[in-house]
Formats: sequence, structure tokens, C-alpha cells
Amino acid sequence: MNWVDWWATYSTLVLSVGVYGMMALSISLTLSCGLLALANAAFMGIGAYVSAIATTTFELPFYPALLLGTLGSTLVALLIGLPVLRLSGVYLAMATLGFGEVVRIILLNLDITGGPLGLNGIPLLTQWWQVLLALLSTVIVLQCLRVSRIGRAFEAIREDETAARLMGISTHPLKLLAFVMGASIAGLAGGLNAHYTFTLSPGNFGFENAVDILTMAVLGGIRGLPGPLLGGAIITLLPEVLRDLQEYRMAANGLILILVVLFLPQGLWDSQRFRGWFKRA
Amino acid sequence: MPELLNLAGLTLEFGGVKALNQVSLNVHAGHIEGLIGPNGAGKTSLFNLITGLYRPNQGEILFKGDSLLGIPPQHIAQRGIARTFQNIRLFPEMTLIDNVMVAMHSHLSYRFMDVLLRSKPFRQAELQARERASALLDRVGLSQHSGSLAGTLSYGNQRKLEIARALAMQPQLLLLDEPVAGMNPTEKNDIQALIRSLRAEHLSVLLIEHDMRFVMELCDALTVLDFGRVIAQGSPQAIQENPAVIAAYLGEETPRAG
Repeated sequence: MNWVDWWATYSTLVLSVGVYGMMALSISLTLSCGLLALANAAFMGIGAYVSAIATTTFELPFYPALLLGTLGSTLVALLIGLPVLRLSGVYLAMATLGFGEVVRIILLNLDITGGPLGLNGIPLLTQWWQVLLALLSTVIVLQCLRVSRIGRAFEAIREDETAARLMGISTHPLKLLAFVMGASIAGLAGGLNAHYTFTLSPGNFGFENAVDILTMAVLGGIRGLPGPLLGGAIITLLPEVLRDLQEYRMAANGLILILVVLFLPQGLWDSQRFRGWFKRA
Repeated sequence: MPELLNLAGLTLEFGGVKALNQVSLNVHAGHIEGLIGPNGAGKTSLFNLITGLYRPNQGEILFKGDSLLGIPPQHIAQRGIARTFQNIRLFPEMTLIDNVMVAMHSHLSYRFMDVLLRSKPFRQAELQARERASALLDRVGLSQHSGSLAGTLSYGNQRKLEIARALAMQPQLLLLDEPVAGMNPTEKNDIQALIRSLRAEHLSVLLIEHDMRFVMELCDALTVLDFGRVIAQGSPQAIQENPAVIAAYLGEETPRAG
């Protein structure tokens, strides 16, 4: 198989590895400050629909459309983050899942989103290098945050929120920052996603997708940026790699996840474990 | 001598049980004030009131003359009150140096854009913060562990790290909740010397401690709590001879029926 054929067959998969890498990073941002927020799939959906409507209905160029999608999910995150982030733990998870359902049902019932049929004939505008650039920018921004007072405060909030407050850290604005930034990344990923899949339907961004994205981050490990990237790639590629197993494919998929969670609770990429290997050597 | 902290008539109730009852005490600037009393006397509750975790049912808390009532904990901390915890509350999965640098959060004034651009103000502020954090770890004798995770430290060293972290906030008032609990005599002497050197730098300290020798040697003045009430206040010498204090600690002598 030559390069052109290979790309024709697998380009969607390769682009999805990049896009879902961004999604896993987006949820790892909220997880890194101890928030179990499961609205990332919905923010991805908002970004996808807004940018796809911009390029189809309003015939805008690609970049302004991507920008609109990103801004759209950012703005929605800001509005729902303000009240919702007063919750924590499973209550936050429930509220954000509920928000995800609201988004799905709105997408299902609006005319401009094409209702249950979704949007079709979205121009194929996403280039591989645009996905790569978006992914790299995300990694760089998050890495800058990690080594700043903001990243340290996120970690402190995750470990002991009360102690963090008593150290003079205003936790609420920081949580909102993590949530909104996560939504921006998800919105951009959604916009890129919409312009290589040709169609969008409301079901793409529902509960199942939200859980998949969480699984990517947990599987890869959230104690660093390589973890979510690795998790995103594995969850995206696994169904393809296991294609030979046919109907047992999803079962094998689940089994791998169970084994990882049982034996590697910090995820696949755990810098502490690597450091331990290095010390013993 | 100016007063840094005034507590006046503080009452704290938990569903009808008075954890604190009309407690008043002052911490003078540059003094080490001791808070002693049997278990359950309300000492830690008083710390939780001062740091804004609890709100009193009655009474007033003044810090540098301003009321702290209704101010959230993070803003009280930013005004210059730092504390440690009886049940150690470090960030166990973070390194020692990061634990200390977390407490510098509100002093690092660079902005979000500085972080993304790694601008000069950002790099300079981070460098200075790291140096200051190393110096603080050195001061409590933990510099050789600075890259380890806080959770791997021994109990005594965790208490030392909590003090270093509290000092990183550059407080004017330091609240220490049983700073030498579980420490060996050598470590206790180190902490005693450290607290003295902090007083020499005009930091005021309010400390809870059960080790009487430690308290008597170190404190300028003592307050004794029992069942949420102040039963005695004064110099260590006066407290040692106070009959109410002896009764609270040893139980009262029952007068024999003549």
C-alpha cells in the first residue's frame, strides 16, 4: 500500500488521535484540580456545531469558524461554570452530565443544527498540520501553566482544598479557569473534528463520548501531559487494532481498561513510577 | 505593647454544645503566646475561628484593628495569618519545594499572559520564589529532601515542612497547632530555637502545645482553656502556680468530711 492510499484509508483515524488527545488534555485540566467535570463532550459538541454552522449556513472561512466554535464553548462554560463549580465530587459529575444531556437535546431539537438528522456535507477543511499545531499549542500552554503558581495551586486544590485556601489561594476563580480553559480546548477540538468527519449528529457528543474522554485521561494518567495523550491515542486506536477479534472487540476493549485500572491505578504514564525504576537501576 | 490580635467574648456552639464560651485573649506584636488546656478544651476550634473556617456565634476577632468576621479563609491568610495543623495537612503528592511555593501564591504577582509568554517578570519571580523556598527548607533542616514528595517524610519532618510552608506566606501572626507533637527531644529543641528566632524577627506566634516544659520555656504569656472557657491567663510562672489550672489538669482535691 502506498502512502496516498494509506492516508486515504487512515487519515480520519490519525486526525482523531490528535483531536482526542486534545480532549483528554482538556478533561485532565479539570481533573488536575480535583474537579470531576464531565461536560467536555458537550463543549466539544458546541464547538463542532457552531463552527460547522458557520462554514455551511453562513459560509464563513475556516479559521473564523474555528474561532467562533472555541469562543462559543468558552462562553457557555463561563456561564454554567459560575454556579456549577460550587458543587464538588459526584454532585459536580451529575450536574455536568446533566448539562451534557441538555446540550444534546437542544442540538436534537433546533432547526439550525439539523435536528435528529444532524449536519451533513460539512466541507473537509481540516488539514493534518492544523490538528498537530492545535495539539502542540495545547501542550505548550498546559506545560507553561504546570510550572507556574497556577499549576501548583491546581495541584494543591486537588490534594487538600481547605489547606489550599488557608495558604491564601482563592480556589473558586482558579477552578473556573481550569473549567473554562478545558472548554476552550474542547471547543477547538470539536471545530477541527467537524471539518474532517463530513457529518455531525447530536449522538456524537452524548454520555458515551463523555465517559470515553474520561477513560482516556484516567487510562493514560493525569500526573503529566504525556498520560492523556497516550490514553487518547490508545482509546481511539484500540477498536481498530482489535478489529480481528470482530464481535469480541468491545469486550477486549473493556478488559484492557479494567486491567489497567486494577494494576496501574495512576494510569499508564506515571512519572513517579518511572523515577522509581530509574533509582533502582 | 501594641496588640496584633484581639479576641473578645468568642462563643462557638455546635448544636447547643458550647465549644467555646466567652473566650477573650490578645496576642501582642512580637510575642509568643501559648494556648494550653486538656483535650477537647476548644483550642483547635479557636484556631478555626481565627482563620475563618468557623464563624463565632458571638464575639469579635480583630487583627491589626480590623474585624475578621465574615472574611473567607483565603483573604484572612492573605492579610497575614498563617497556620499549621494538629492533624498534618500537607499536599502529600507534591514535592517539598512545591509545598512551600504553593504558600507563596498570593505574593507571586505575575499575570496569566506572563505565564504563557514566559516573560521576564515571570521567570524572575519564579526564580526568586524557588530560592526563597529553598532557604526556608534549609531553615527547618529539610533542604536535602527538597525534591521528595511530602508524603514520604517522617512525622517530625512533616511538622517541620508545615512550619516552612506557613512561613512562606510571610505572615505577621503564626498559629502553630501542636508543633512538636510526636517529635524527639532533639527535634523539639530545634523547633524551640526556630520559634525563638522567628520572635527575634518580630513575628508573633500563638501556639497550642501539650508539652509543658516546651511551653513554659518558650512562651511570653499563656492562656488556659478548659471546657471552652478561659480559666487562667498570665505568665508561665503564674500559670504553674494557679490553683484552677492545677485542678483542671490533675483534678480537684475533694475536701475530706470533717
